[in-house]
Amino acid sequence: MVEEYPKLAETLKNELKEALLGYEHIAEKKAFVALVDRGSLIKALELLNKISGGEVHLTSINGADLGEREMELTYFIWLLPQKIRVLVKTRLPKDDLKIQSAVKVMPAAILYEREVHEMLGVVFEGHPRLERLFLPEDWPEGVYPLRRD
Amino acid sequence: MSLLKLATWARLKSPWILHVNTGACNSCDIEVLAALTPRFDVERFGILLKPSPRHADILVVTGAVTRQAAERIKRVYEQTPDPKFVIAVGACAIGGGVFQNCYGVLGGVDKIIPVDVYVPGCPPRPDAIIYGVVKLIEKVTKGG
Amino acid sequence: MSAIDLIIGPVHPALHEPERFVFKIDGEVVVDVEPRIGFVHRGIEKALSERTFVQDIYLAERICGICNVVHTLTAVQAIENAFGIEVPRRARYLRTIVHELNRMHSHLLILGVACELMGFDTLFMLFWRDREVVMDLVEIITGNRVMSAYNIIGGVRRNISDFEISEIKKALGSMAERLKHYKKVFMEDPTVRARCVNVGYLSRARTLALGAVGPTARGSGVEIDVRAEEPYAAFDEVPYTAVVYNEGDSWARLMVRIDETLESIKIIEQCLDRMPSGPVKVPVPEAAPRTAEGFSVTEAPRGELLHHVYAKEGEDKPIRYRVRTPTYANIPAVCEMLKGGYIADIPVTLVSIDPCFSCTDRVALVDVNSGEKRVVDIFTLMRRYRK
Repeated sequence: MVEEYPKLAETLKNELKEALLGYEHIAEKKAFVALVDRGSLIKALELLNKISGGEVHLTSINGADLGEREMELTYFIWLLPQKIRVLVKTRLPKDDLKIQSAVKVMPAAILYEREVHEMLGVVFEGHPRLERLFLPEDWPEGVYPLRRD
Repeated sequence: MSLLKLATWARLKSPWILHVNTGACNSCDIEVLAALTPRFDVERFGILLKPSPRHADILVVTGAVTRQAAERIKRVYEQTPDPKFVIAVGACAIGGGVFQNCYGVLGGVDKIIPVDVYVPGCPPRPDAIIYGVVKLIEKVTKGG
Repeated sequence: MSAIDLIIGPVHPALHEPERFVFKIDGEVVVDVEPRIGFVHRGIEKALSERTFVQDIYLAERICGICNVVHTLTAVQAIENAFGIEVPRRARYLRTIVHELNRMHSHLLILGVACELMGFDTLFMLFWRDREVVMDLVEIITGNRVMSAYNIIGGVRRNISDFEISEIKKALGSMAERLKHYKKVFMEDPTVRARCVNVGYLSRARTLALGAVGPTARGSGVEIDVRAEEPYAAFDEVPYTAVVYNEGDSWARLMVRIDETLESIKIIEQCLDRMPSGPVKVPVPEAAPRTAEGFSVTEAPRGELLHHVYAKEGEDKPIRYRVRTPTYANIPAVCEMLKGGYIADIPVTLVSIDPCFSCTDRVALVDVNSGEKRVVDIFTLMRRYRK
């Protein structure tokens, strides 16, 4: 619900401070988009968990190689009580594709992180089982199908 | 008219069909299955869908062949006793369909096993699939 | 405890789809489940960014033949979101009608398959016979039974006449009566209850935490349905309330689908009654008019579906296209549903989440101790356990 956006913005600003690199409510997209520093991504997810009282749905984790120096990760989240669609974005430098795994905070991340790893080479530290999901066994190591380079 | 031909032939022999999906989107598969249901009902001609290659006369294959599926379709073909025939149903089974040149896809079924009849469509209607079976039977009875 | 790796194939046993779950079993009980998907991995996401936006509609349609309509709907909505295009009202209503017809055929399909699995062949045939009526209605509106590419960027491809509207209403009316009767049979039949009740149970908390969607989630009391929460197409004007059951078992998940099929009929009737006049499409540019991200979330028959696209101004191909299908979201949940259950319950539980990949119709039994592998076809295995 649109009325909840200001409160969400306040909470994120107060808790994340400089780690919140930017946010906007995009009416056309019916979503609240927040860009956070990768070191605080987990903290942001924990916050969303708290705000929603644990009634949070992780829709997907999308990785994108947009041909720039950095890769973008988007966490699509739905807060049930507030009925807000939140997109949490973070950027990872291509020469250091590492981020903490979200599995402990949002168990639903378990397969999405494996897929982003398999397709783009991002390492999710702390993931219990970062192995192949979709690619055949004979697919060569180190070749990431969705990388642009 | 083709249904009459089918009925005639069916008196001589009821072909048993094994349906094999090598990597399809399911649309051909549900039209194959729809052919069994009351609207189309091929069962009245003795055509039965069987679960095992050992019992099959005809392999009805759908899907663009993915790398993983290629080994499997070869094995199924070898397990099917002679005389056996293969019908490739749908654009993907014929030549990869929309998935041509995708990195997971090898191409049409005839890259792996010999095909007797091709039923084009994306997906072909159940009527077209039945017609494909009729065509195969004609081809076989003519050829002996 | 000596565990045996039971590699099981089918997810739609009647459709012979190829997939693989590896089950570790102890006697008759499933101890652990590992999904090894990928047999139908066709490299679609890469292909989507190598083709134009328009070509992507045709490719998206073939991600899944059963829910092809919802993939085109979500695709065009995501692209419209990126391009900043507003779709005419009449088009949104038409999209909703075809979207709900698609849901009906998909639900009737899986309900039929579930009945067949439980040995209830008559009800299987009845569900599929009514499904043919739905296929006819889809063909009347879109021109084709299955792949129709009815949704285009900017609207829909074809208009509908008043005569067609009245024909559709007639067909739906008689179908609703029959479906209510099947529902009664399904609810009361002792065989159905014996095979589904308390089978594949998952608590509400776990279902939500594991990211489950669609009837799989709503069967465990999780009230998420995109049509109600994030309305799209005509759902902002034709409001929808989610169907939720709290039992959390396979029976509940199947009941959600029966009720939703009846709800779909109501939605379609309302859309037909309130159909606005006006154009059914607007012109759109071939290339992206601005650099922007777009996404669309819809309620596919199996659950929440996401298409996420990055567009660059002047380019006629997306820079990145990501699709997250509902079955994929349900895999962690179904693995947990299967753990602790019996081998005999595996087919019913898998079918109750209405999975949509492709899978093999055979079972490989691997004896962990001797390394010996036996291949048994799934129908033999099913028959052994059919009561």
